[in-house]
Amino acid sequence: MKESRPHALDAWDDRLVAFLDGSASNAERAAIEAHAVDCPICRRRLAALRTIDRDLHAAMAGESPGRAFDRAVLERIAVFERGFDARAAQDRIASMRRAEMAALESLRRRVRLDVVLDMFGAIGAAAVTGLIGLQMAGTFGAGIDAIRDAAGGALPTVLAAGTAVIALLVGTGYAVGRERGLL
Amino acid sequence: MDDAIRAALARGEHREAFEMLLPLYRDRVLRLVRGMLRDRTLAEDVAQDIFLRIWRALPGFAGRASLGTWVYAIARNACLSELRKRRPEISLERNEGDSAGPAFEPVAPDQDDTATRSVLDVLDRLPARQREVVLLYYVEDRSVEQTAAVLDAPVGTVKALLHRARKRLVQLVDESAEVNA
Repeated sequence: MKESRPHALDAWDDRLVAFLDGSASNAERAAIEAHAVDCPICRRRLAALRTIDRDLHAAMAGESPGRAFDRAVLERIAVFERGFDARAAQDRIASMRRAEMAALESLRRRVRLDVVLDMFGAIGAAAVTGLIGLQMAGTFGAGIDAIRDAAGGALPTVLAAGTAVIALLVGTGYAVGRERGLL
Repeated sequence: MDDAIRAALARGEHREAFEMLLPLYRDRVLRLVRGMLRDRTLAEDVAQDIFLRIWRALPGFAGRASLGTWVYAIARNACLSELRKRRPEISLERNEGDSAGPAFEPVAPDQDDTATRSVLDVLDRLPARQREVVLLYYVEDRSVEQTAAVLDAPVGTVKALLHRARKRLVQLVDESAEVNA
C-alpha cells in the first residue's frame, strides 16, 4: 500500500467531517476514500470520527419505554387534574368564606353604628323626658305642692331623673337587643 | 402529524392533541433528557414531568414556533432546572467560546458502558450551543434538517455547529485517552 505524504490535518479535517455526515458529493467521497487508503493520518481521523458518531448514537439511543411510559404520564396528569379540581374547590370555598366574612363585618359595623345612634337617641329621649317632667312639675305645681311639700321640695328633680333613667334603660335595652338580633 | 396536532389544538381538543403528541415525542424527549441528565431512572421521571408541563401548557401553545421546538424548549428548561436544583453553583448557560469548566454536569454517572460514558463526558465539555445541536442531532436520528427545524435555525448553521462540535469531540476524546493512558 502506498502511503501518501504526511500533511497537516486541518487541510482535510473539514472534508472528512463532511464525508462522515453525508454532505460530501459522490466525487468528493470517492476522493476521500482513495486518499484515506494511503494516508494514516486521515485514516485515524476518520476512525476517530466514526467512533464518536457510533458512541453518541448508542448513548442517545436506548430502548423505548413505550406505552408504559404513556400510561405513567396519563396517570400523572390525572393526579394533577384531581389535585387541580380539589384546589379549585378549596379556592371557591375560601372565596365564599371571605365574602361571608366581609358581609358579616359590614353588618357589624352597621349594627355598631346603629347602637351608637340608639344610645344617643336614648340619651336625647331621657333628656327630653326629664325636661317634660320638670315642665309638668312647674305646670301642675299648684296641684302637687302638697306632694312636693311631702317630698321636701325635691319632687321635680326626682321625677325628671327617674324618667331619664327609665328612658336610658329602655333605649340601651333596645340597642343591645338589636345588636344581638333579638329585635 | 404536527398538522393534525395543531388542528386538534385549534378546535380546542387538547386531550386529543396531547394523545397524538405523547407517542410522537416520547422517545425523543426521553433521549434528550437522558443525554442531558445522564441518569436513566431520573430521566424517566423528569421526562414524565416534562409531559405534564406540556399538558398544562398546551392550551397556551401559540403555534408561532414549530411544535418540536416548543416541546424541546420545555424539555431543555426542565433539564436545566433539574440540574440547577442539584448543582446550583454551576453556570448553565455557557456559550461557545467560553473555556472554563463544563457548562453543566450530569447529576450522577450512569451505568452505561465505558465508551458511551466517555463520549458523554466529553460532550459535557462542549460549548452549550454545540452540545445542544449534537444532542438534538442524535435525538433526531442524525437528521440535520430536523435538528435545524427544532432549533429554528438555518441548516447551514446547524451543519457548521455540528462540524465544529465533532472536531472538538475528537480532540477531547484524544486528550481524555492520553490522560487515562
